[in-house]
Amino acid sequence: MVTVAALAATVTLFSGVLRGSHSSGALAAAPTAPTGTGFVQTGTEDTAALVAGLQQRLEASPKDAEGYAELGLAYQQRARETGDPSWYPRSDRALRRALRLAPGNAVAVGGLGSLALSRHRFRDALALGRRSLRLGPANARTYGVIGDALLELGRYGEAFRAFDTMARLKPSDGAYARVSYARELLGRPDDAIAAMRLALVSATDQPEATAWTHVQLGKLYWSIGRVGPAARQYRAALSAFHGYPYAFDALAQVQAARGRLSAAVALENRAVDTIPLPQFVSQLGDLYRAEGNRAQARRQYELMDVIRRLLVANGVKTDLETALFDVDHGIRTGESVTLARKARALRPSIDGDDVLAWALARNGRCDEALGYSKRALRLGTRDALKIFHRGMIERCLGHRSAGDAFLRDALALNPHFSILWAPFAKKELR
Amino acid sequence: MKRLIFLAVAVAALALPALASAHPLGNFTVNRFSRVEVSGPRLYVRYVLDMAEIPTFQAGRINPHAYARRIARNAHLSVDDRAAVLEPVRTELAHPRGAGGLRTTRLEVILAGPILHGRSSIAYRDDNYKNRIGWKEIVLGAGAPSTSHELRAYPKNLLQSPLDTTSIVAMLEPGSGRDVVPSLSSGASLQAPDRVADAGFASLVGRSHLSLFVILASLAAALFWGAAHALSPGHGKTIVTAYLVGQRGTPRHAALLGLIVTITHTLGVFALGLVTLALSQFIVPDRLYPWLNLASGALVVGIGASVFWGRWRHRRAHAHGHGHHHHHHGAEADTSFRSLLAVGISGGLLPCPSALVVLLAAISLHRVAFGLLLILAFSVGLALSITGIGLVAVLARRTFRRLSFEGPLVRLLPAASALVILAAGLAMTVRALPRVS
Amino acid sequence: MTAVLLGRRKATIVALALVGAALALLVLRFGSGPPAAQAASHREAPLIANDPPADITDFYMFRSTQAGQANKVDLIMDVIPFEEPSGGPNYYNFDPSVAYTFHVDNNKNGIARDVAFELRFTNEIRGAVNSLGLPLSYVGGVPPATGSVIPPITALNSPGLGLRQKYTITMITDGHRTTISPMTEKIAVPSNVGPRTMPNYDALAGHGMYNLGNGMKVFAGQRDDPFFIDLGAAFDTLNLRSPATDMLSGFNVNTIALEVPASLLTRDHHGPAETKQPWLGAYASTSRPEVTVRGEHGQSNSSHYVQVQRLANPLVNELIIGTKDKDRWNTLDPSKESRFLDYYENPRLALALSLVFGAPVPATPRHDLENALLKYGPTDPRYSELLRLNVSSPPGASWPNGRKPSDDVTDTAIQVVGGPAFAGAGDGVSTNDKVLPNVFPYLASPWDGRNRVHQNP
Repeated sequence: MVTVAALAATVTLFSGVLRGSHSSGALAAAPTAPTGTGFVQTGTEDTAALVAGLQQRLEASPKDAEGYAELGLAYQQRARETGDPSWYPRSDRALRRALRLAPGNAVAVGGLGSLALSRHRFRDALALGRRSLRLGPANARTYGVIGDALLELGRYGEAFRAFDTMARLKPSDGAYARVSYARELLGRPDDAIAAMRLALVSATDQPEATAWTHVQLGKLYWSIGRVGPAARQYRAALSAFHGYPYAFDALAQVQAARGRLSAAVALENRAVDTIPLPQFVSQLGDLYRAEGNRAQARRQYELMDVIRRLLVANGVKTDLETALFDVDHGIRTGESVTLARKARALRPSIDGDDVLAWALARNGRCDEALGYSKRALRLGTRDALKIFHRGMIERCLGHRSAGDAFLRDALALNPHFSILWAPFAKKELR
Repeated sequence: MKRLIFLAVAVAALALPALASAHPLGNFTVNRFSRVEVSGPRLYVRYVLDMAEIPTFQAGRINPHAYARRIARNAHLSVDDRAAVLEPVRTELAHPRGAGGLRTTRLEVILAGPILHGRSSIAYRDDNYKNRIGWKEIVLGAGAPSTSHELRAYPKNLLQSPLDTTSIVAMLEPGSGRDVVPSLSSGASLQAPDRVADAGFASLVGRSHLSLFVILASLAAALFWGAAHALSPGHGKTIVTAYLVGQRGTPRHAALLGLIVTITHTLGVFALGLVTLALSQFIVPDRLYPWLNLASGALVVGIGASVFWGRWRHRRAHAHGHGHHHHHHGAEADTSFRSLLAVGISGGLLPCPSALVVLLAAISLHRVAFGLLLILAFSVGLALSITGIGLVAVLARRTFRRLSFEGPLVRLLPAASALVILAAGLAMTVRALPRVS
Repeated sequence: MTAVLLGRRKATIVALALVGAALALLVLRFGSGPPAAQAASHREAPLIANDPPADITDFYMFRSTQAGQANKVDLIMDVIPFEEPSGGPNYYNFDPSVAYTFHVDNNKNGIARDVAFELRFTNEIRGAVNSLGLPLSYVGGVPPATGSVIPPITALNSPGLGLRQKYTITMITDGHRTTISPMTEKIAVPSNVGPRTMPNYDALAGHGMYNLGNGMKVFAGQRDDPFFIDLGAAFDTLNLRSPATDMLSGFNVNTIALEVPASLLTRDHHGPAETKQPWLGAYASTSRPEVTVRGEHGQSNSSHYVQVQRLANPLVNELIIGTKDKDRWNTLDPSKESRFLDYYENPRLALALSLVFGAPVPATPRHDLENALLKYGPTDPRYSELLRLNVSSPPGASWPNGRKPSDDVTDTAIQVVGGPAFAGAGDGVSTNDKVLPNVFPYLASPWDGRNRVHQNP
């Protein structure tokens, strides 16, 4: 009675005029592949088509272990491009199937390692990375997994060696970006910028990787208070990857720094509307609060609570972020020390030290906090927020002049280091 | 209390390596489905909107008619190259339970299109929630199969990527029958769509077993954490101590108090769990908590006030100089039991959120009995701690008395403790008030 | 074996035909990033990003077949696989952080460090694009009605050429570096955008061919990729057909072509006719700067480079070397090839051929492959994976004696690897979508972005 002829067409969300796909071998294999789903379609066809090609291939040969391993990796890239974490369980299952078909497949083991990183299971990631290395030596990617895990576990010397190995084995945007991060941690922002610039010229292909690198470079400029160059990088990220929410988030910070709060709110809303990541939502809350819109701010903070419950239900351990958010916003202050302590146990990095120090300080335990704050700054990292925390702890201990020196240092480094705390620090110094 | 969540996760992980995907497309997807069909001469679009937990929360209270109108505005239909109007004629809204006991949204709308005069070429495009991640599906014809069963069961196949169809072009012929508005889903099919994509889920739960050791270890852990949890702030320690000190409690009272706390807490968790399940489409537990807070605050205020009033009268009686130093044993024990009950209830009424999460996780894993056991153990631990604190308070008071500090100061103690209870209750109430809205 | 309609030209084609291993190789070659981002804030840099500007698809070395140029040798490398001609607004460029190098061994010791040519590129944003701040790389032919008149791009200094790449060539002889013709400004030919912007692309490309003196010529820019395969049929479990459908027709590559007198390359500096040492071994490589965490600031752009990819003989990178060793293989010098001998002696290609087609292949270990790909002759004690050319052979010799763009290396590869049972294997797609010219730079003009098609010729 109905249908005579039907032609369904997939339509991309944004007209895909930017940067056609060209580099995926599977592209041609699946010209009619669905474009997949994502906050942005532009330039992600590569991975979407790769996924479709692999799926097609695995339909035909379901015993293909390497195919499942590659599919697992491609699903992780989709997660990165779309921001949709539900690709992770898919990746997990694909990689496990690969291992069932071919126990000891180094690619699959390494893939589980990078998956563990995404889920913040750093010890698992390290073990998996090392196992992958034993199974299939000298893979640059595996050194990346190992280095990332070591970094989050606070084992900096080993992590830096892994990054060096990675960069020597296969210089790439990923390797340069990791070297840049290491230099940033060591308190050498200019050298970090040099390495990230190199990453940028090397990241010539995937729009997502290019946009990511632009944003990271921008954040490096931002970290030393260079708002203009930072903003340029964020805008470049948007032109490389239309609608990239991390760039909107970063640009919101820029607008806030320039005192344009309503523009900042609008930008942050674009980020949240695309993908409500906790860091976007909490920043939106802070922006509303700065604007004086208490009701909207509270709404965002409530959403944070919802997100936290979902993340826990999904097995993602985000305690460090949760603890910092709680401490910053005076939520469950009493519990936050316990939370921070547990988070630090899972992630004994300088970030873990810093959050614990701050939680202790906010609970008035400044003696104890000082030790952790010193640990947090032991690499010489020039991070204004950590330096600010140290200053507040010193002041809390009655070391007024030392504390003020740290606050001044933080503000000199980056006058806009935090929507919440930079104005506070300025007020304290007046 | 956080640890209990980890326990729950760990327990779940025993049965299920990746509990992760309650919603196949993540917790912040907005999924859309359209079925373009003809009934008699008229074209209809059956539109289904499935919002995961986060967008549901962001949406706040949903007015289905306003949503239907907005959906109609962003669903573009043209018949023979001329734009046609879609008019919402029926809506149905439900909030099926999602991950972590949170609400999700399922909105179904029937959009009535124009009457078709003979074979027509139609073009339909769905522009709703353009930049949101999600499953986007369009099918043509009343009987055409939907890959996701109209957003009820997302494909379990590992090799299926989310669909991304947002427009359709087709030739349609009007039917010969009467123009009957298509019906919407109702009842269970509207309330509880199968959101679980993981094919291995059911089989894993069925297959794997919990060893006795794991069960015992988990119970012991739950007991311990319940006890530890009671020591964290905000669990009525102040009230219990103040009460027992003020009311000249005995060890028996302390034990009784523990029992009451256990029973109340266990029942509270179960009740809240049931309420959550039953009313999930109306109420988010999040919104229930402030009310519970308020209720226990009010209860504590009541207790404090009544005890204080009693003390006050008692003292006035003393002041009238009857020199009567014996207590009215019968009456006093009576009051004491009633207020004991009230204190216990106020201490246990507020269920610990993590206990609730354990229960909900257990239900979703079809391990209800195990979940109940865990919560019972948790509650017992909670009670042991509170009883212990109570005993310490009771013994301390006795020691003081043995040291014979009888005097006006000690006689003031009951009234002071009543004031402490009152203040604590007021604080709880005041803290709960702004969140209730 | 008439049913075996296997591909030609490029080893990857064979790989694709072998449904199993094939795509995995491509995936590794062209990348499937496994990086991952999540809700939280720990910094997750990309783990594998595709690196097409450093991705060499083909390397050629042959005695010039152009009339009157027989004393010259041509070195060509193609990079950036699968360029979709319409891929604006940035299109396809060489990478300023990559050193593109041809390495030559002229004393048969297997160490290709006797003569090398290194090309490095720099970017420049200029002209109308720069002054108007346009988000495009190239504009031109804008009619007056739109306000500003931007003429079409007809030369390498046209105002519409917004992104321009200049490059330098350095010849390295026994470690001694000589900049070739520094006074000649060398500009890479941009991607073929379309007829309004670039009305006469061939003339434009002609401006990008430079005579460097000493009989040397260079070209860097976009060309048509001589790559074709019936992928759809291959993936349909080898449901091959004739005539086949080339799913990769209409794709471009970026090419670096260098023509030098043979006497510049030979050990004794004599031309093809006179030389006593006619054997050359060569490979192409891409390298990126080495950067270390503790390295000094200046070292960010250090002169020390790490090899990212190398290519000599077709087939080796794609099919012989196992995926897990690929990073290490690419980093190492070809003269270290003995570490990978197992891959040559037990080639998976042969195994796959026999599995899929059931035809017998020669028994392992395959010393014939080692001899063909790694040695100057059976008695050569050194294993080095180089493309070898006897410059005394008359022009027109085919792989494995050098390699010309028109060589059907895939058929040769199948025949060599598969052994006698595979003699005569061929495929349904046997012509490139564009005719290969017999003049420098020997590759056809690229498809333009506006009118590109992907179909058989």
